[in-house]
Amino acid sequence: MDLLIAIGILLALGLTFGALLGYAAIRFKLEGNPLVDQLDALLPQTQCGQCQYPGCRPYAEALAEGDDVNKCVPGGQETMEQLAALLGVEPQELAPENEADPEATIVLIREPDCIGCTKCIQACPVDAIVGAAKHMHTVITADCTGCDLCIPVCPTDCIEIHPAVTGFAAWKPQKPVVQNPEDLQRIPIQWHQ
Amino acid sequence: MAPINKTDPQKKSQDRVQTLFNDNLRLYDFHGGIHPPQQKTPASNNPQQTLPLAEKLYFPLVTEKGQPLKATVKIDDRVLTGQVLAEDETGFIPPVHAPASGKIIAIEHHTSAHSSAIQVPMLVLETAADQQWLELETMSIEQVVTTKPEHLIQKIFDAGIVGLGGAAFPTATKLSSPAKINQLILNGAECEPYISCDDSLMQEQATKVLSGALLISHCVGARDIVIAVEDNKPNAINMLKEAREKLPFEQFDNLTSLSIITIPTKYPSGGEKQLIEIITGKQVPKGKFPAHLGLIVQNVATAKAVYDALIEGRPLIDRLVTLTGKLATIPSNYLVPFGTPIEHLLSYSHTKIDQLVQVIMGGPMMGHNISDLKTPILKSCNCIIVPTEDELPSAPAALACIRCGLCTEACPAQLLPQQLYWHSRAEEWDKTEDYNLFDCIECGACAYVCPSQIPLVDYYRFAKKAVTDKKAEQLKGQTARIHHEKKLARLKQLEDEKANRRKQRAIEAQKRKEAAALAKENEASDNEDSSLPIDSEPTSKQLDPKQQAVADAIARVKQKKLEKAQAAEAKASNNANSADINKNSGDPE
Repeated sequence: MDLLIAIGILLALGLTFGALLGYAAIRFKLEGNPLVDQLDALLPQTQCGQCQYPGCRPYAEALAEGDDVNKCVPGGQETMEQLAALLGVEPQELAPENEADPEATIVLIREPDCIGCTKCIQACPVDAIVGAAKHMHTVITADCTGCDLCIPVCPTDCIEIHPAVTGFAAWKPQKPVVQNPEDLQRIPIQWHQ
Repeated sequence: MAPINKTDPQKKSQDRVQTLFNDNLRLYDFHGGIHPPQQKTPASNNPQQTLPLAEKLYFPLVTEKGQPLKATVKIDDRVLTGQVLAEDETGFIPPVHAPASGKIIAIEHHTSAHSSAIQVPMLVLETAADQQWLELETMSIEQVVTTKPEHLIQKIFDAGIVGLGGAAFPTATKLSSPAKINQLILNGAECEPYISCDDSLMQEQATKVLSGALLISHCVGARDIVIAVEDNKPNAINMLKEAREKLPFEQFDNLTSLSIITIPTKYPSGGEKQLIEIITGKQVPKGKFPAHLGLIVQNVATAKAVYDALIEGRPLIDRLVTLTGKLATIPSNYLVPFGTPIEHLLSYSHTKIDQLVQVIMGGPMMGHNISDLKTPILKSCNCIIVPTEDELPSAPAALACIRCGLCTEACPAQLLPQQLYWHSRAEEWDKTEDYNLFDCIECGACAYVCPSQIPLVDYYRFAKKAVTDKKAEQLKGQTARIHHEKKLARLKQLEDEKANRRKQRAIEAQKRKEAAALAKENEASDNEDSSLPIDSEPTSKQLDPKQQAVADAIARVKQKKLEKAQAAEAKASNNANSADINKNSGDPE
């Protein structure tokens, strides 16, 4: 009898929690992979395709499937480390040709040379180039991510790379030097005396 | 009381004036603060001097916040004193006026007064021998008090007035706050060592300062005015109190008090939030403006500029600048036209330029070094210090933080400077924000008390810039992602539409084929029995309009054919019919 009661209780518990879990699985169902969103948020969103994926989100999806974390060129060392930390993998070396801390750039069209072929407009992943066929095109600099995808398609090579920020905004206060190297040398001398 | 008032209006106004002068307000204190050596003399004791015009004046075409200004004059233009030289197309920054008559000779790159010392394009004005003002539109106080505040605020904007305490925030923007303002606080604290330009202004132009305060209170509808002066400026306080007796209070009916109060000398009591706490005991909430508490704070020099702008119609073209430091031969307060290179001020005051160790723009606590003596003096510059090496020695190498906590005791913003230091040094930006990095007013009190001489403010400036950049980058990334997603969605939509059209065309082609087959069939049956054309009618029972049209056409053709057949020439008409069928069956397309 005791045995039956025990089995009964366990069965009831099992059914209750099973029902709860089943309900929660439907009620709180997650659409898509939340990890992909988190990874996508870490990527610089330049949509440059230098990772060999067609944009940042596809790379984020590939990362969630276990791809290497060192493929993002504009993100540099910092993004690589953040991706590695989020995925819980060892940081990987960046490819030697990629800078560790790349400078943010934008492109500008040398407007007299533009023939209005619209090729760059089609290539721009973020719609940052405006213009019409046989009319001059121009770059909306505030929206340009510096992916440089428009450069190879331009038949007249009239697209130039410029730094994204200039003037006062580009200036950064120096980080103070942490310690004077001479002070470090002084310590052992005092210690020996 | 009523009859007395009726018979003696003068007595009434005198009574009112007595109630207005309420100088015994309860004062509060703010956390922390320091008492550095004042060093205000001898500059504050020497009489004001007017700096003669320099040969060339320089006006940057970009503000220190990076906003570009549009020049409203061209090279070779002759300008009159008070003429607008440059303006902000976004309408935020007030215009820049010519402080002198002369000719615009160039737009060249020169060193800016920004701490970065980068070169920016500047208008160069060559001053002429004969000076002529633009015609000015003057107003009497009666006219001003009957003018709508919006018009007055617009006039203040057009006069190029910005906060002259050092931050150079557009005054018109501050005055047009939608919140209800009860109290105007006039900031005459001038707490930073060495600086004495506000002191000098209050001593020599107290009436204009107070009148300016009355005008500002009229613009914002404030009923109370409090003028706060540190107790190290007794002369200024006396002059203000003396000038107050003769103010035209009868024009300002809504005013309930005009207090001139003496606050204890403590750095940084002149900080906007600190001064509010001293006077009201309230703290401005994080992310809010003083207007949230019904307060507005203006510098005394700004009040004087407002007086000049509204009453005399004179735009802001010069300001008092303290020249001090042991290398200054004649330390004093100079009335400097904007755009004057520092070099001109130094040479006019016989400062030994060859002995200069450093030139500091602003005070010793919050100012920065100037590397190029051609840098122009602009609206935000209140002081130039030329110290000797002993006077303000360069900072010794920083030692390790010993966690003594003196910085926390000194911080007027009640932050934890030590924690901010560690996290800024380790570049842990999230943590710096957790410790409210952006509430730091960069007053330098923490670095002043630090026994290890750690340049704490340098760390905070470095961290603030890094965090700001990071946020801008993230925002740009988000925008880029949205744009990219929209583009992908648009491309997909176009692709779908194309596919749909292709599908539609395939269906139509199929139908055409069927219709053609049907027509052929009918034709065949027609040939079998041409005497009964009505027999073919049932084929048009399908509801499809295209098929209906085809069937109709066939019917018409048959009708024609019948007529022609009846007419004779059966063979020829047969040929014509088959051609017509082909033509008509193509028509519905």
